[in-house]
Amino acid sequence: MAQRSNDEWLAELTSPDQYTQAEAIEALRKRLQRGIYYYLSRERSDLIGHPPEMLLQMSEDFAQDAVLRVLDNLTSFRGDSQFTTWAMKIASRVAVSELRRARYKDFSLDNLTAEGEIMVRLATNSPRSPSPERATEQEDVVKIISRGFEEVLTDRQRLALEAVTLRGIPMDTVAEQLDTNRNALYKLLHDARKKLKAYLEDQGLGVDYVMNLFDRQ
Amino acid sequence: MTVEERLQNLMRCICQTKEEEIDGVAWDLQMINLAEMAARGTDIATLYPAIQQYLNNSPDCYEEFRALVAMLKAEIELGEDS
Repeated sequence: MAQRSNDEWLAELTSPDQYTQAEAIEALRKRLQRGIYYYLSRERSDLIGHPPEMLLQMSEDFAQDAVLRVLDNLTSFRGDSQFTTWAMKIASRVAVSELRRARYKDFSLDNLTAEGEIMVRLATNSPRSPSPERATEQEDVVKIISRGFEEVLTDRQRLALEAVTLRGIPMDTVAEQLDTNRNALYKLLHDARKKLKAYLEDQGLGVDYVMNLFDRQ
Repeated sequence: MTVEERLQNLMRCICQTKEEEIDGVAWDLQMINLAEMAARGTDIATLYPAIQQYLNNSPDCYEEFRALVAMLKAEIELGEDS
């Protein structure tokens, strides 16, 4: 069939006629699967080397989940974009979330705290610049930031900043373990960054100086 | 991430912090339009530095954005046949 309009997608996906509905669901599933496969095979460096049939299976599974999610949320489609683009937004979240879940299924913030303060270890193991003066300056700044972590951040802010910014743990994983959501976690991190920036400035360290010190290793 | 990358990331995040930033709600409203632009070749980072800063500080959103852009690129490259 030719391209469906937004209204046609909505009408067919909710059609009382089972054949019409099944055909629309299958068309949507195929469209999402194709896009997800493209993403998995071309954009995910961590999946390089995986056999195509494995990526195909993953894309089939994610597309199936995405279609169910789309059908559950049809009433929230406002018509601001093409229906398929809106559905792809949902599918992209399903795919990325599933990949994250698999990768971080054993991660626990409790383990993070058990490993000790990462800033202390960074302060003592910070990379040495070829220039001794520069290396000393870098160490001094890391020590100041490390003190800032202790003095101005709450426990939750410290934990969140360590997990997300220093260790690259996905925000959804951290948010779940902090019993919050991604938007609230972003706010928590923003407040933590603002406090640390103010702390640096209070210590007489300008942001340009700090950026230059760490950007030109 | 290496120790160097961790430190650079931390310092960049702190130093580039603005008093007011785009939040997740605002991002969610713009994500589709920006993804369509990016899929057609627009350099979002250059055109919208505040958006890029949000994405740098919200890696989950950045990852989902890249996934959506890739899916839209597939539409452009492979055609829309339904």
